[in-house]
Order: sequence, then C-alpha cells, then structure tokens
Amino acid sequence: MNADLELFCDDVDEQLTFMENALISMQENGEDEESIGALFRSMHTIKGTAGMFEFNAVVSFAHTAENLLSEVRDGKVALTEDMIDTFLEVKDYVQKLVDSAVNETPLADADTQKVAELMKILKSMLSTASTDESSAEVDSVEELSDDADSGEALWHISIRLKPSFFTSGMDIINMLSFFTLLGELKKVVFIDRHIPNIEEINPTQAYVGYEILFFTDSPYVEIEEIFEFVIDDVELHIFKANDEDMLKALLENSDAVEDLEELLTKNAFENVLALQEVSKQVEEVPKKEATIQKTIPKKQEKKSFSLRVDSSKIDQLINQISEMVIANAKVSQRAAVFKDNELNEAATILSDMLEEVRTGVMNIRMVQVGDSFNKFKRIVHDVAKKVNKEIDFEIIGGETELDKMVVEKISDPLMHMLRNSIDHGIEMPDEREALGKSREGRVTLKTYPDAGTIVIEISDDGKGLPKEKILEKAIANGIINENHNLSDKDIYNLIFAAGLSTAEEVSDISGRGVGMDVVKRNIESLRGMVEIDSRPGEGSLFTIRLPLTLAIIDGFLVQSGNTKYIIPLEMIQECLELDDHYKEEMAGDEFINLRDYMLPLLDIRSNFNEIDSKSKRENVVVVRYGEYKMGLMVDELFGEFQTVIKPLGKVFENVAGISGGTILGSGEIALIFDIPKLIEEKIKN
Amino acid sequence: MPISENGLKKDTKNKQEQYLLFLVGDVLYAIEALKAREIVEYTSITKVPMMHPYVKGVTNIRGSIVPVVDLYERFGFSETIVGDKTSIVVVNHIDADDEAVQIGIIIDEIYEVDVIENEHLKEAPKFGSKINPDFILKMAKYKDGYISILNTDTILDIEELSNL
Repeated sequence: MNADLELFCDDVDEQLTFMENALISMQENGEDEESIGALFRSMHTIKGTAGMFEFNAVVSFAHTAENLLSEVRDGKVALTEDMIDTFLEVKDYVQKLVDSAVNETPLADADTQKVAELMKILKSMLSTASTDESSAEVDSVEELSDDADSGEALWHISIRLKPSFFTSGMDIINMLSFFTLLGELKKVVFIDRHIPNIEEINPTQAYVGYEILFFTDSPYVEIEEIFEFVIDDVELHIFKANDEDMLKALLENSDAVEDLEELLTKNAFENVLALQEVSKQVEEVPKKEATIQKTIPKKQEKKSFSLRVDSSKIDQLINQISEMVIANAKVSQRAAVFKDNELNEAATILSDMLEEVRTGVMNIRMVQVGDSFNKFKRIVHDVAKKVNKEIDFEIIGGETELDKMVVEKISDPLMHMLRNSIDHGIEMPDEREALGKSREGRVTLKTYPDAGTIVIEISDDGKGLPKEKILEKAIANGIINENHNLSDKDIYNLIFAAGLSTAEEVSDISGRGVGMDVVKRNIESLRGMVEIDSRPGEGSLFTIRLPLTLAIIDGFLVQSGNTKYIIPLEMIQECLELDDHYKEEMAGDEFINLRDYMLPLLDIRSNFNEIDSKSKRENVVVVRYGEYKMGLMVDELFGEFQTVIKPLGKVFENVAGISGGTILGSGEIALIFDIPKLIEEKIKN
Repeated sequence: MPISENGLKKDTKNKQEQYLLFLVGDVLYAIEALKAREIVEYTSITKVPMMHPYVKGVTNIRGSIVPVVDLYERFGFSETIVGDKTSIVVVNHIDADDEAVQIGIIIDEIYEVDVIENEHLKEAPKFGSKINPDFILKMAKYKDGYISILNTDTILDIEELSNL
C-alpha cells in the first residue's frame, strides 16, 4: 500500500471512530448539536478524501449519508433511535467499502446488497423523501435550498475568511479562479475593512473577505464544492441573488465596520439595489430590528488534533535524552574536580531540565483509556442485541492514563471478557425478573490507579460462575486431581486454564474453549495479572492489574554485593534496617515478624550467588505484589530513580527475577527486579 | 569456489578479506572485520547473576545494554586480568532466529586490521588445537606463522550462553 493510501486509511479509521463515538454518545444522552456536527464532518471528510482517490462507491454512499445528516443538522429531520442504528451500520459498511476499494477486492454480494438497502433507507429518511425517490440522482437533495430548477442563475456568494484560514494551506485566489471555470464572475468586491492597523496585524491570520455575484448554470453543490477543503475555515453564504430573505439576513448580519449594504450599493450589486427598491416601498419595516434566525453564532469548535508518531521515534528520543543525562553527569563530575561552582550550577540546571524533557517525552506515550474503551459500548450494544439481553453498560474512570501500547494490547482481552460477561454471566431478561433482579443486566468496566499499577475491573450482576461445572470439566480434562483441595477462588481461576469453556452451547459470541487462557497470557505479557472472583447469583468480578507503562518505571535503587538493582517503587511498602533485634529473632529462619506479619525474607546476595562482602548495615525492602509480601535483603539503599527499562537481551532470558536493565546517570547499568517472578519462584520452591 | 557454511564471504573478484587481529592470552587471533561493529576501551561491567562465569555481565555501549563475554575464560582458561590495553570488541552476532544481537568480547589487546588472501586460508585441524576446535573457523597463514580465525557463531551461541 502506498503512503497516501495508508494515510487515507488512517484518516478513515479516525473519522469512523469519531462517528461511532458521536453516535454512541447520542444514543445514551440524546441528540446534541455537537455530536451531529461531528458526525456530519466525519462523513464529509470521508467523502472528500475518498473522492480524491476516486473511490466512487465510497463517495456516493458517504454522500447519501451526508445528505441525511445535513438535514438532521439543519433540523429538517429529527434524529431517531432507528436513525442512529442505521448510521452505526452505515459506519460499518463505509469501512467495508473502503477496505474493498483500498485492497481492490470486490465487495461480497451480500454486502453490496446491504449497501444498496442502506442507501434506500437513508433516502427514505430524508424530509424530502417523497419527491426525491423518483429522481435517483444522488445530488438532487442538496439543491433543495431553492426551487429545484438547475438552470442558469445569478448567485450571491459571500465569503469571510476566518482568522485561521491560512492554516488550511489553501490559496483563496486559486479558489476564486475556479469560479471562472463554472461560470461568469459578474462582480467581485474585496472586503478589506477588517484589516487592522499595521502595528496590530498578525501575519498568520486572515482578515479579508469577498462579496461575489456569479452567473452560472451549475447547481448549488458545485459552487459549494469549490470550498470543500476550507469549509471550516471560511464563513460562507451562497444563495440565489433573488433570494431576498437570505440577502436581508446577510446585510443585517454585517457589522458597522463593514457596512455591507453601503459597500454593495456602491458597487451596484443588482440584488441589493432591487432589495432597496422593495424596502422603500414598504417603509414601515424597521430595518435593523428585524429578527434574524440565521445569526446564532456557531459554537467555537475545539481545535485539538493528534499526531500519529511511530513509537520507535519516541524510544529513540528517550535514549538520546538518557545519553545527554549521562554526558551531563560527566560535566558535573569535572566541575567538581575543578571546583568550578558556576559550571556546576549550570550542569544542575541542565540536568533538571533534561529530567523535565524526559518526563514530557514519557507522557507522550500516555493516553486516557476512555478514548479507546468507548468502542466497547458499541460492542456491548451489538452483543446484547444478538443474544437478546438487556445490558446497562457503564465505563468508570475513562480519564485514567495508561501507556498507549498497553491500552492497545489490553483491548482484545477486555473485549473477550466483556463478551463473556454478557453471553454467560447475565441472564435473560425474563429470568432476571423472575429472580427479582432488574431486567437490565449491569456490566461495569472500571479503571483506576492503585499502588502504581492500573487496575481494570469488569463486573457483572449476573448468575456468577458455575463452580461445579468448572470443577467437573477441570477434572475431566485432567487439569486438577479429583481429591483437590482448592478454595473457591482457586476454582474460579481455573477458567484461565486452556480448554475450559463451560458454556453448554457454543455460541458465535464466546465459548469456543479458547479464550480465557489467551486472555491470561496476553495480560501476563504486559507484566500484568488477572484474577477472578464470583458469587453464585450475584455476579462475577474480573480484576486486571497492569503496569502504568512498559517503557519506564519509578524505581528504587539499591545495592547488593557489587551490583546495583532497581526495585519498582510501586511495589515497595517500606524499608527497614535489619538490626540485631531482628537477627536474634530470626535465629536461622528466613523470616521476620513485622508488626505481627510473618514476612519471608530473600537474601539477594546469597540468592544471586554474589560474592560475600558483608556490609555493616543490612536493609530490608518490603515489597508487595497483589496479596503477597516479601522482604528483600540488600546492602545499601540509594533512593528513587526514574528508570527507563531496557531489555537485557536473549543471553539473559533464563535469569529468573531480572526483567531488564537500566542505565544510571553515571553510565553504570543497574538490573531491574521482576518482583512477581521472584515471589512466584520462591513460592514454587 | 565453495561457500563456507559459516558465512565466511568468498568474493571471487577480491580474493581477500579484512580481518581484525587481537591478542588473547598472548596468542594472536582474528575475526572477520565485518563482524566487528566497534571497539571500545574496557569499561565497568555490571554482573548479571546466575550466568556462566565467562558471561561477565552487561555494559553500556552508547545507550544500549550489551552483554559481555570474557573470551579467554570462554576458551576454558582463567579470567582476563584487566590492564591498560584491555578492550571490548562489539560483535554483530546473528542468532538462530536470524536476529542481530550485539555481544561484546573482552580481549587483551588490539593488534591490527589486516588483509588475508583467501588462498592463505586452511581448514582447521579437527583436534590438537589449544582451544575448542569448534571455535575455529579457519586457520590462516599470517606472517611467519598461523593464526586462528575465530568462529563467533559458535563462541557466542546464544543458546549456550543463556543456558544456566
């Protein structure tokens, strides 16, 4: 695929996501202007860009949808529940059409039929449906602004460049020259009265506009199309010169600086003169006081945009900043050697700034989970419909930030778990009613930060996991022994073992027996863990615990023997000195009594075969992961350190308990403890 | 001309290759110059626990973490005594999955980079050499004697290095 097409696909993806979000939000909160606007813009952008590639099927489909949307936007048609559903389908089929166009594969017959069907539905929803049905021409709808004759006419076009116009990158002069291709420019008046004094001019902003009388046989749409790419950057009014209402509105809308009427009169705009004739005759109409419907100012759109950046570029930046930190550390050292205070101070400032830059770059990777999780609403909606269940789905904590890569990778497992909850967890509405529950099943996706990790919980108030069935199956599959000794929680967690699907019937939603084990593996590959709890008749709760980011952790630097180690700060509960009191108490055991908690200890030196270099002080770092606690015995504590995780590579992949390395300010390398692995390893032995 | 399965390039036009020559335990060895990515002064190495003694640990080569192997120890001798001229040669190693991995090897002293004619290459003897014959790719006539051209593929075999 060439770069342009790739860009196109990305763009379509983005627009369709906007569209979906807007639809879902309206489905929940009812119609709102902003969402409709977003919807319209998405469709419009897709139509425009697809047009550039001459993907005609996409264009005409998008166009039909856009027509309906523009009527909705203008309040000609009310947005109904059905319409939202239809637009959701439209969204899917736009994707299909785009895929087929991009990959140059023909659309499946069923899909083609569906597209045609959807187009019909869309057209039937138009306010002007009855008149338009006869003329199959797609473009006919947009002409409804006036009596539908498409003969020669004189148009009045009023253009004001918004201050942001230049950022669109288009040249207004070129655009004006397009008019001459379509027809004849009768009059062009340049509006320069808004240009401020030279001291106040901001050269990046546009201040000007045009009033144009244009004679053509082209329809409204074609004239509007000239402005297709700048439609958000201009204030545009196009109407037939003989449309008095529009003209009046335009004139009255102009401010005192502009005094459009005077200007146009001076330039002998025929329609203005004609209007004045009329108003002279009906003198009692006070000009300035006429109420104007059209002038409600449009809500200022938020212009935030996002960049797509290859994540490796960010990694590279982080690497380079790390290098700078190291180089700067050397400068500090030299400054100390030469006792140069000024140099030392400069180096300190520089290192603070580098730290800020690094934090900033790290933050680029963080995104709010809500942006990505909102798509689940659609999936839940679809799945619920498919299995005829009623679901009240809620996303809590969408503003929680998580590494983009983690968000992307956790998406599939979450989707699977949500489907499971709906398909297996929630009962049928009638069943629920009989049980005294509400007909609507509650499914909640909750995200919150906890102890330096991010916790994602999926809970439902369905029937809970079938304990007996899981046991039966696990025994049948030889996963556990018949005379097992498992707690309820252990039994529930068996569903993460391979090949354990307890659904009696395999549905096309979930229940093929692959799934939960894959879910678990995916989560673990993100250095996370997943647990399940369930109560019969009350529902289930899945808890996923994930690291904030894959690339960086807040670490705590310690030393044992000759090696420096990083312990992830989020797992540290406290540090304490292993004094004689504790040592006596231990008496050969490898645990201490920490406020009545029997804390197992792990001596890093002996565990990792470090040479014996007993230091005077011995410290214990108490770490916690999930429900487990352990004390790590180390020699020295250095303090917090922002740690960029770097892999140690394949040579060291069998070293249990070390997850990577990091480069310290001095250029030295410290090893990063993999606490969950260390704990797991210890428990196993 | 046969293509060596060890990947030693046989260019029929240029019947010679460049080699990096260095001293390890007073003996001159060579590797193909193309395999050497860079040579750095010996710097501090962070020990990684539980590894073979000859895997000395990791070091920081311009922002990347690179494993370091003591060549003399890998040959079955003692640990290299670090001196003024001790260097680390960063080798571009291609692992079994065809992925490039950088590994540093500790050597006593860099000798030079020199050209050896292909016709001066001889098969290594199956036994009788001071070091494991698998570690020797070819023998080459050099100046008045013979030197071993080392086979970094076997010396730095990741599976063996990572096996605890």
